[in-house]
Amino acid sequence: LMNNWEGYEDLHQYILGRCSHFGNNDPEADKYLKFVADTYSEGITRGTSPRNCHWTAGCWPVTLNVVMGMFCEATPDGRKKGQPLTDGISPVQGMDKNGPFATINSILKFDQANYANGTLCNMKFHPTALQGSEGDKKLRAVMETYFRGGGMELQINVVSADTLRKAQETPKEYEDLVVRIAGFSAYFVEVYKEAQDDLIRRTEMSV
Amino acid sequence: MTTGRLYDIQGFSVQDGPGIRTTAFLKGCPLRCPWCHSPESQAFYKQLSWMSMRCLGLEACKSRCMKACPKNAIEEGPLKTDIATGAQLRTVHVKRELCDNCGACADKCYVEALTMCGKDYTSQELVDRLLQDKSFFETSGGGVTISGGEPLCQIDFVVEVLQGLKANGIHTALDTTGYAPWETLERTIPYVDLYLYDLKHMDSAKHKATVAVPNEQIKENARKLAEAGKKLQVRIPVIPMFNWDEENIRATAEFCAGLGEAVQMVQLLPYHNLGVMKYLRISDGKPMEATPPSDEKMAQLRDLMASYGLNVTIH
Repeated sequence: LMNNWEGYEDLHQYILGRCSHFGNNDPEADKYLKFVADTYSEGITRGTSPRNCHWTAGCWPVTLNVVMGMFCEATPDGRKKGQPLTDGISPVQGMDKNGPFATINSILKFDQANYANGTLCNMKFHPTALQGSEGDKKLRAVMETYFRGGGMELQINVVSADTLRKAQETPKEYEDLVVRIAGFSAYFVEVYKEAQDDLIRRTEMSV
Repeated sequence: MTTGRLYDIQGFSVQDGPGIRTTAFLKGCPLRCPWCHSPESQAFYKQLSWMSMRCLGLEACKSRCMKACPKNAIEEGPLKTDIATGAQLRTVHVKRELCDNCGACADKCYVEALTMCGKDYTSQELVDRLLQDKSFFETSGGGVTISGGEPLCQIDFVVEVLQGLKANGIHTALDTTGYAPWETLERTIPYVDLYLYDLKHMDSAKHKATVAVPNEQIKENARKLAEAGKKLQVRIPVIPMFNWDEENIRATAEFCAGLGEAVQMVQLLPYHNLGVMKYLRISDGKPMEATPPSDEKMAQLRDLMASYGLNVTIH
């Protein structure tokens, strides 16, 4: 890890491609989410603040996952030094390979009630996935399932990665393109490049 | 307990029956429709699939795939440009005439540029996997669709899976060409809530000349399903120059109208060419491409069929 995977390409590729990553509804990988999430929230809520209240745990980096990543060495899941960390409680960009149901089932494996300060879950849908007269019903069903399962917050982006790439290349033509990054809507062309790349790489859930 | 072969399981299927569904795609089909957008669904055996877009280049992985192949079927292939760095990467080419789909190379390709298409499940394994998505079916009025390929070719497996799903209260749909003996199709009747039934062409000779099989059995099976009180959603792939002429569309509409209340909906599926590049994943050749029908043409066909009293939608 201190070598940033250099000299260990075979292992790096193996970990990225063959090992099970969080986000695919695989109990083996997902159990670590629960361990990490519970450990963190327990530790935080035990502490008291200068105003003599308990801290509450939250997991919503907004775009800070990109900044935090810049200061973080390589991590055992295959991430290289300097690359963004994941945004909120969503799986690592591109590692959820089994569609939105698996992603949601994975995310719901820890108790979000321990995160009174809020959680952030970003999902991106290709426009064709929500087409037609039933499109909004289907989106609603996904949201209902997530909240019924214990979810707290869901951020839905409906835009194609191709559009975002084009917007990167020719920002002048996409000045009105709005994306939601955590709590605020942003004009994509104004967001700095690493966050743009990050948004593009987040998994596109399409039909 | 039987075993079946699938080539894909897709969640969040929104066009394969009511609600949000999970679709199980079985591998193997007796038809050979030239417009098929999932060519990997046709063969019954496991196939080596190659995706250039994922390849890291031979230098990055030290030619692991070439070294793994016992038949020397992998050779150096074309160069591609890495989007991120602009570097030229040497990819590979699979010599299909030497490849016997053994999978040794796919085992060594960690980035899944080379993968084996086709995975076996026992009926219990598949039911367990499908039940994982149950909460989504409940909130959306959805369920499971068994599709393919032609699921009726693995009938024992399909019946066991359907039984398992019904035992758990899941709404079931079966997407089929209808090309099988009635005795086979009949076995699915107690366990299927909705049949997604394909009609390619009403003229049997033209049907056989293009998709490799005649259509008498297909039409007869549809009639029998209707008589048995089952519900059908008829799907018509609209293929330029093949079946989109007025004569065939009228004949199809008459046939559907003749099935009465059994036909809940007719879906017109305009030809598209998004699946063409998939042929290059499993072979060296591409199929013939056509120009997708225009929106106006599709609207015309929809109105024509609707004039027979049918509920027609465009996919």
